[in-house]
Amino acid sequence: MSKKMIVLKSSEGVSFVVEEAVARQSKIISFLVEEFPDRELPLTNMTSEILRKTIEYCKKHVVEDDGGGDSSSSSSGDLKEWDVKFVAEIDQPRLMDLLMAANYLDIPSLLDVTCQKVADTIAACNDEKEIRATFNIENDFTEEEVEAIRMENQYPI
Amino acid sequence: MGVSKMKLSWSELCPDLLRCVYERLSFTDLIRAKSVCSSWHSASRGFLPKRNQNPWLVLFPSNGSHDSNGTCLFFVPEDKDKVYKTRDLGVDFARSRCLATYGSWLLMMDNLWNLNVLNPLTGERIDLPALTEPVVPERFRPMLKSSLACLWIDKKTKDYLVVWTMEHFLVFTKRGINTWRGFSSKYVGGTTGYVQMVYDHKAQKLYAYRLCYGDIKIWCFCGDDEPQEVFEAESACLTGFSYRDFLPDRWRTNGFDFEKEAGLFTAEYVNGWINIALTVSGQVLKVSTVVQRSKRWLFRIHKISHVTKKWKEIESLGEEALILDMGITVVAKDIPGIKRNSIYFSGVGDGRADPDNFFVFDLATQNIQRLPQCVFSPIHFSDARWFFPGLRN
Repeated sequence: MSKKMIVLKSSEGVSFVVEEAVARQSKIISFLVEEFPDRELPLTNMTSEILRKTIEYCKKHVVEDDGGGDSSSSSSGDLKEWDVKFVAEIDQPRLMDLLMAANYLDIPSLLDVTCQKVADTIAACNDEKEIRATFNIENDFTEEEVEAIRMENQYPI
Repeated sequence: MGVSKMKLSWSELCPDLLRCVYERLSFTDLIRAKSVCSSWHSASRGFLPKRNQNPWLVLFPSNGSHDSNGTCLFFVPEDKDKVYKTRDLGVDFARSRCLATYGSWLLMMDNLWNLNVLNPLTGERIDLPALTEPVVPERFRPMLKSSLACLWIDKKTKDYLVVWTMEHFLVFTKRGINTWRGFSSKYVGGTTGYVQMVYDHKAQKLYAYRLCYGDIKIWCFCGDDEPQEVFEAESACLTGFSYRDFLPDRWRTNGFDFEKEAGLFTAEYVNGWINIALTVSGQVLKVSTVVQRSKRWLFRIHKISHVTKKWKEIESLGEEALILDMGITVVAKDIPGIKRNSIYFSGVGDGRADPDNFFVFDLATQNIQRLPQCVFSPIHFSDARWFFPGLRN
């Protein structure tokens, strides 16, 4: 029996043909597939690049029921290693797109690894200035606000 | 296509997703992250560090020692050489006493015997009902100064249970009942009135150790009414003096040897305490502590044997670590940095103001790891306790 395939369409209009089992790791796609079988699913807020990345992740993480498929499910140790490499290769701006894609498509494990990568990046910074520089964020606090935050937070003495 | 979509900046990440990131940050990193920009800051409002982490130490100022009494201090072990100060929480800490901690909550008693449950990280506060006449007679109140209590609170729903010892009996209150209630069997204390309690929320059971009898009473809070007494560990009778646990069994040694050893031991003895605790699996432990003249600390741990119903000494806590004043153990491998088979000690009774009484005791090596000096140098404190914001309910 051949595998059921579905079509996902990126914001640029590029179609990706994906095994249903792979795409179903997204809870949203799972739902949509049931509601609208045999229809192309437009993902208008996802670029081809991010959609390709997301599919790559899902392909690796798909768990085969019958075990006879050609996409083999990996051992959890290998998978972890693969995840580490996967997020390490993603640069800062794309990381945010991927994080939002994981959230939008509702793929908990991808959301987990992307959030962890952001957390690790923050943890690697020595102070808030370095975090701002790393994430290209502008300091929009007024002097009064800075003082207010100092008063409100626990702070080192 | 001509899709000209504005690229989002990291400062525009939605608060829910930011909080997913915050959950994975340590306390210090979270403070840094929320100082980055206004949207990162507002997403952190009311957010508590969730990640499993080492227990902290919360320190309370003593009278006149501090510029503001409304603040307390935290020592966060992962930030080795730093102490954090809370904002003014509107509590007169110098004239209050902390009776217990649970998760990120403190059970505080003010100088008029009013109890409240306070989260020093968020400033949230729940005032407990005032003491009323038939339940707690006026004459008992002065004795409350040295009373003990036990706190459990659910960090999400804020359901809580507080059990409080009066001289000879226990009272409790929980969310929704708006009053203190007595226990059906009144007499729980003894001549010393010293009772230590731990609460197992999963089993809804309260364990109270009676010093004068050396036994444990158990109440079940399963029903909506008053707690029911259950008998599970009724025997296990031993005198309630901790030094007994460090001497050989009188009946197995000859009288002379016993007297000699007891003599040597008592000559070295300075002070001793008994605590109870619950393991992760719900097993009750009795922990005897003795401090000697040479400032040496000794610990003995017993559990109740299911077969004989008697206390049986255990040599090791295995993979668990014991937070003694909270009366709990935790699985060490779940919490990076916590030491397995160790006792997290923070003084007992009147010993809580002495920096020497705060340490981690390794049961295998008998080594004591003290806290860094910086923890105690900035203030004179009257009391300190382990504080466990990462505790799972």
